[in-house]
Amino acid sequence: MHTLFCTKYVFNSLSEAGYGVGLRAIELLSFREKGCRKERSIIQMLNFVRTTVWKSLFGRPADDLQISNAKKNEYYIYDNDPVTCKYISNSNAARCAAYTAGIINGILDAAEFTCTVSSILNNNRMVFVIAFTSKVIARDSS
Amino acid sequence: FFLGCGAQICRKSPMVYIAIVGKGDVLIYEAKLPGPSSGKVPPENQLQFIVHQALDSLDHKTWSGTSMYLKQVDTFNKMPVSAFVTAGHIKFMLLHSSSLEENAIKQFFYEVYRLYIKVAMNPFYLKNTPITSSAFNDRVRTSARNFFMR
Repeated sequence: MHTLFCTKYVFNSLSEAGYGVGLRAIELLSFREKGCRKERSIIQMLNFVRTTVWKSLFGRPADDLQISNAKKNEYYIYDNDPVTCKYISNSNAARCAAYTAGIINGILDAAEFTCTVSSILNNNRMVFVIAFTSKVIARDSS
Repeated sequence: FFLGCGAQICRKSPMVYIAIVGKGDVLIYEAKLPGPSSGKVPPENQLQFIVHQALDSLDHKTWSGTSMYLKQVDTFNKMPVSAFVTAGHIKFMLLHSSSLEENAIKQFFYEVYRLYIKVAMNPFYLKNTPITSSAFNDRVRTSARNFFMR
């Protein structure tokens, strides 16, 4: 039973499940919370994810948002206490943040900010690494 | 785009044409709705092409502001095409006569947005697939009658 839980397939499925949630979350939250306004730049969009989305899903805004120093297309969202990993009594608990990573991915893809999102545990904080495609970066800088 | 089997007759009945376009220019929903009485109406098989043609200027206008309602993005033979882009970049496009008030169009788009969100929230509805719900169809027609037939 333990080995079944550790396969990559489980976490990919979690990611896909979160993706569907993300697609729906952006429509609903833009309508309810943002008063029918859509975001234009990467920073605005990530702030929307960090505050509005996190508040409605988890009851509090995410802890931090940073841009990578090295790579210009990577952004980090920090979450000190991810809900999806809380009560899992298994060494792979941290990988369950793939669900939230899927949610973020769905939201950004729907808003035409194509990216890949992965979750990494770093210093006891969960980091969501958001890597945008070059097309998005080019559009954002213009 | 799927070609409708429309007749070549140019009807004079008042009409407004709505098309909902998803990602990759996929047509999700289309309908000919009752509208205010005014001039000619293009033949059916041209409707999709007119809307398709407006997509370029719509894309350009989407990224120039944060509001979802983009008033008029294109014209065809003096018939304006108005558009509305949702947060998930689903485009609602309306081909109508120039006598239609902007406020009525805006209210109609918000109403269709509300109805679209209800469809999208359904976990069995895959994004970018055709909307086949008859309730959605009925409610879109009712709101068109409410906003456009004055």
